[in-house]
Order: sequence, then structure tokens, then C-alpha cells
Amino acid sequence: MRGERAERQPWQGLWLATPTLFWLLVFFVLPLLLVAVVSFMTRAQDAGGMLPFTLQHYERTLGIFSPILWRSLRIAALTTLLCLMMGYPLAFFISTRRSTVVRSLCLFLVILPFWTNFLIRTYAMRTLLANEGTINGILLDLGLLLQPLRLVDNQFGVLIGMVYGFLPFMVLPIYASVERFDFRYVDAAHDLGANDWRAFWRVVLPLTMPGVLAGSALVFIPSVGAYVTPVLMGGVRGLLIGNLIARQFGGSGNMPLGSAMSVVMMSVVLGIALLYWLIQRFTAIADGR
Amino acid sequence: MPQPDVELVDVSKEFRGRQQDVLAVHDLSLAVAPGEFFALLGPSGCGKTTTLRMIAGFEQPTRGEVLIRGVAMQGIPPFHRPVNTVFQDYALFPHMTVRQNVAFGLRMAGLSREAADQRAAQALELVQLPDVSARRPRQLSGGQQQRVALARALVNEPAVLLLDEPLGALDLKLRKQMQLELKAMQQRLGISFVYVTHDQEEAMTMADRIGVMHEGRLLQIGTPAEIYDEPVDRFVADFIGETNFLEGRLETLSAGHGLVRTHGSDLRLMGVVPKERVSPGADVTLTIRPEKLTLLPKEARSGEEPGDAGAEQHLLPVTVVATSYIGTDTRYEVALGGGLQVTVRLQNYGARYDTTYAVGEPAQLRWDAANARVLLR
Ligand SMILES: Nc1ncnc2c1ncn2[C@@H]1O[C@H](COP(=O)(O)OP(=O)(O)OP(=O)(O)O)[C@@H](O)[C@H]1O
Ligand SMILES: [Mg+2]
Repeated sequence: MRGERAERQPWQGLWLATPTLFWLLVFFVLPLLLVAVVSFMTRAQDAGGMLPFTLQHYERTLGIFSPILWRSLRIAALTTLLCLMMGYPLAFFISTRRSTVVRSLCLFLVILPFWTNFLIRTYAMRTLLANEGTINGILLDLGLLLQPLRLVDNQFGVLIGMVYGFLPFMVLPIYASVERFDFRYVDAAHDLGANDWRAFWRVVLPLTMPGVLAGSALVFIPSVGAYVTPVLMGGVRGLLIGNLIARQFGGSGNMPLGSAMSVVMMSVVLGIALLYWLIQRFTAIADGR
Repeated sequence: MPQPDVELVDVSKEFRGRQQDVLAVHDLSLAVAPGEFFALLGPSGCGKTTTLRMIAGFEQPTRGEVLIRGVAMQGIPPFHRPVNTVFQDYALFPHMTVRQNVAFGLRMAGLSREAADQRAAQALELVQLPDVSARRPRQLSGGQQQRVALARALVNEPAVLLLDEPLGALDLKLRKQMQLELKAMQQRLGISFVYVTHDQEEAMTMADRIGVMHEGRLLQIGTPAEIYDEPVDRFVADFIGETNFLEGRLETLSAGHGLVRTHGSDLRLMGVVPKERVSPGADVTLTIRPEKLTLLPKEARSGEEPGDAGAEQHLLPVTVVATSYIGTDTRYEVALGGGLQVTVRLQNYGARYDTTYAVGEPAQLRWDAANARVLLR
């Protein structure tokens, strides 16, 4: 099988991919190049770009706007971490159920939220957590609180919303990894004197790392550029880089500045993706794959 | 017997299933002496692995007790038991090098990395595999993986080594070679082995004693010769080697010998009755190995009078039904009359014994009572 594939020319069968390549060229590569070019232009009256070329937007992005970029990265990292800490045990629980019916049911419940529009779900979250929302209402009525907890319109609200929204993307790849994991390795580790804790760290986690890395990438990358959740859950204090970029493309905005922000954000994410790829390659080599 | 390394006392294991419960092991008792090579032999699904896993601590007995060196193992987890296992598919950690695999147990026991690596290197030398320590298991051949698995278990100097069909994945030639090596290593190290296999030849070659299992029960424990020559159970006789079965009823029993009247024809044949297992009147099976029967020319006479009830040796008139030449010996299917048929194997010594029998030829079958066994059906 592997030999067969190796004998083929690299470009053989490329036509299978041409529709997609064409699509991506027109709707992804060209716009991306456009954004890159505009990011070096001067702001025009209509918020668009014009000559001459300038670096001032990059200066502003990395200058006064860098705290927001950092905040975005921090919240994305925190989201990833929380999703990992909740998602790993959950994925582990689901994939170790004996009955396939129970497993399918659990997986179904994990992806069930996708059946409802993300915007609507986030609104629902807001309704639950707002100052005059359900949770605060109940706690106030019970007399457990004197004034409402501030659960939204700050970074905490953004975090709750993002973890809620992205958790399935963490659970599914880890599930796939643990599902494939051969539990006889745990027997072997126990046999050689490892207790449960050490068997987990030395054997289970390393061998399910591909799932952890895939899940982390799937959560982290979209988290950095998140737009809807910060708007609905973060208010002014919870704005992230995605919102800042969006604002530049409105009527009174600054498209070259927005483009520069986009390029910076994409570079950071790409850099992290590269790091991820390196780690994965390293562990793959470590696995002898 | 001195204190056994492993002792199982009336151990049963029941797996609770949704549809039905499986009684995987039933009232099994055995004791493995220090330094003994003990083989658990039986067909697929008879409960060998389950028994081994109860010794290792991966399964808890439903009833009964497991003792290792006299200590009851109830409630002691696998990682605190002084045993190590060579798993059926080796279960080598794929993300670790061979050296890390072998050193794993020592590291868990608290040895420093240097000390563990050094002992791992020694263990790899012991299994004649010193040059692969930096490789991953996936980069090794099946035979090499097998040796690594062995080294990984032995390096911990267990009281007992448990092996679950360790040679099952190897080709025949390598398996034969490893059988001898394993046996030699076991004798050199003096560690007792509990060795699970479904291959009777493998068990016979290697083991000091064999326990034959069937459907969760241990039917017989004995040396290879005892198991082969003196089976106490029809299944054991059938499972180990080739044998003839003749059904009948036990007529008389005296001094350990029973006279059996076969069903169908009224032949009366004598056989050894294993201790107090059978009483007269019982439906029994007579069993005798093909190589322990002999064919004689029609006119030959033996020392004793043939056919006498009570005689230790019978000469029975037979007709050759089929023959097949298989090199070292020739197999004859002979008819005893009344629809009964047995297989006889005669060794081909060469010119000296050039008597051969053609199909359809009448001959005489010599039946030694000492070689026949009377077993409960
Ligand atoms: N975890 C389990 N749950 C339910 N039934 C089991 C379990 N493990 C084993 N069994 C059943 O117990 C019986 C004995 O199984 P075991 O694996 O001990 O057989 P074995 O002699 O090792 O067979 P093989 O030679 O095929 O490995 C089988 O009927 C098997 O289906
Ligand atoms: Mg088995």
C-alpha cells in the first residue's frame, strides 16, 4: 500500500483537487493577497486604501493595539486549557464506555449544540448569565446575593462563552485518540509496577497526544480571532482583536489598519501552528511513525 | 513440596454479561513449585488467559484464593505483586525506545536512570539483543519484539514469570528455536514460569508439568509423560496427541485393570483404570495410542493365549482397511469387526521389519492392556 503510493508521481491525479484549488484561489488566496497589499497603504477618505505605501498601520497594531492582541491570545490560551481540562476526562469517559449505544448517545449529546445556531446559543448564555439574568435572579431571590454577580460584559463572560462554544472541538479528536488507545498498555504498565497515576502520565497521555494536539489547535486557532462571543458576552471590556478588526471595515473605519491587524493576527496564529506542527512531527518521530 | 511460588485454591471466575454470565474458570487449584516450568494447556476460550490474569492481578477471582510465595493476593493490585507478564502481543510501549521499555519497571521501582539503563542493557544481552536499544518496538521483527518483551519482564527479577502464548505470533522455525532458548533461560535463572499455550507440542517440549484445561476446568496436572501416557480424562487423551477411542461398558474391575465389553461388537478388551474413577457397569471409553498397537501376521502366535479374558495381552483378528505411508512410520486403519475401527502406527525401521500389510489383508492386532486406558465417558 505504502509502496504503491510512493511509486506515483507527486502531481498524478491532481485534477481531483482542481475544483477546490480553483475555489481557494479565487476566494481565499486572492483576497488574502489583497489584504496584505492594503495593509501597507494609506487610509483614504472612504476608509479604503490608497498610495503611498506606509508601515504606520503595523506600528499602531504592534503599539497601542498590542494589549488587545495579547488579551486575545491569553483568552484563547485559557479557553484551550479549560477545554482540555474538561474535555480530556469527558472524552476518556465516553470512549471507555463498554456499550456502543451509550458511546454514540454521549457523542450525540456532545455535538447536539451544533444543531442550533451559534448566535442563538450565545444569546441564550447571555440570558442566563446577565445581571438581570436567570442565575443572578435565582441567587438574589434566595437571598444568597445582595447584588448581582458580574458574569458577562467582561473577559470572564467571554471565557465562559468560548469554552462553551469550543468544547466539542476538543472532545471529538481526543475521543478518537482514546478510542484507538489499546488499554493493554495500561495492563503492561501496571504489570511493571506503575500505579494508575504513573500509568496515565507515562503511557496513556503520550499515546493520546495526537488527539490532545489536534483538539488544542481546533480550539485555539478560532479562539484567537473570535468575533461573536466577545461582542455578546464581553461588552466593551471584553473586546478582542477580532472585534477590533471588524470595526475597521465599517464606514468610519480604517481598512489598511484592519488589514495590518489581520496580517499580524494571522502571522501569530501561523507561528503557533508551525510550533504545533513541529511538536506533532517530533512526537510522531518519537512514535516511530 | 516446599512453599509454592504460586498457589491457586479453588479459584473461580465469573464474568457477568448482559445476556448471560460466563464461567471462565471453575474451581481451579494448582501449585507451582519454585523453579518449575508449569504450562497451562488448553483449547481457545478454555480460560487460560483469565487464570493468568488472576495471578497477575488484572482480574479478581469471584471465589477462591491466589497466593504468591505464601502471601494471599486478595486486594493487592498488579503493581504490587512480585510477578511479571510477557503479554500475548507483547504490549511493548510504542512511544518508548527498547531501552526505555526494558528500563520502565526498574524506573517505577525507583532506580535512577543510569542504574536502570545499565540493568536494561544487561537484560537485553541476556536475551541476545544488545544492539537495538535505541530503536522503537515498531522497528523490530516479531522475534526481536518477543525478546524485548521477555527482557522487560525478566529485568525486574520477578518471583514468577507469567507468559501468555509468547511464541504465538512467530513462525514455526523461530518458535521451535525460541522454545529451546526459553527453556534453557528458565533453567539458568531458576525463576518459575507459568506458561500459557494451546500448542500441546510446545507444552510437552518445555514444561516440567502441564495442567490441561477445558471449559474453565483443570482436568489433569502431570508431567508430559503422565499426561500423554496416563490421561485420566477423555478430553485430555484426545487433546494431547493422536489416540483411538472405543466405547463400551465396564464389566469387571480388579487390581487397577478393567475389562470392557465394547458396544456394537462383543469384543472384550482390557485396560488400566485410573484411580477409583470408574466402577463396573459404567459406560466407559477405552483409549489407546496408535503407536502402542502392533500388527502381526495372521498366523503369528504371541506368548500368551490370545483373547482370554483377564490376559494382559490380546491378539485380535483384524482386516486392514486403509494404509498411508508417512515417512517415519506407516498408518493402518484396521477393522475389528462389528463396525469398530482403530488406527495403528508402525515404525518403518527398514529392511528388518519389512512386513507390510496390504489393504484387505487379514492380520492380527496386539493389544497391551497396560497401554490402554479406561476413562469415564
Ligand atoms: N472480560 C471478559 N468479559 C467477559 N467474558 C470474558 C472476558 N474475558 C474472557 N471472557 C470469556 O472467558 C472465557 C475464557 O477466556 P480466556 O481469554 O481466558 O480464554 P483462553 O483460554 O485464554 O483462550 P485463547 O486461547 O483464545 O486466548 C471465554 O469464553 C471468554 O469469552
Ligand atoms: Mg488467551
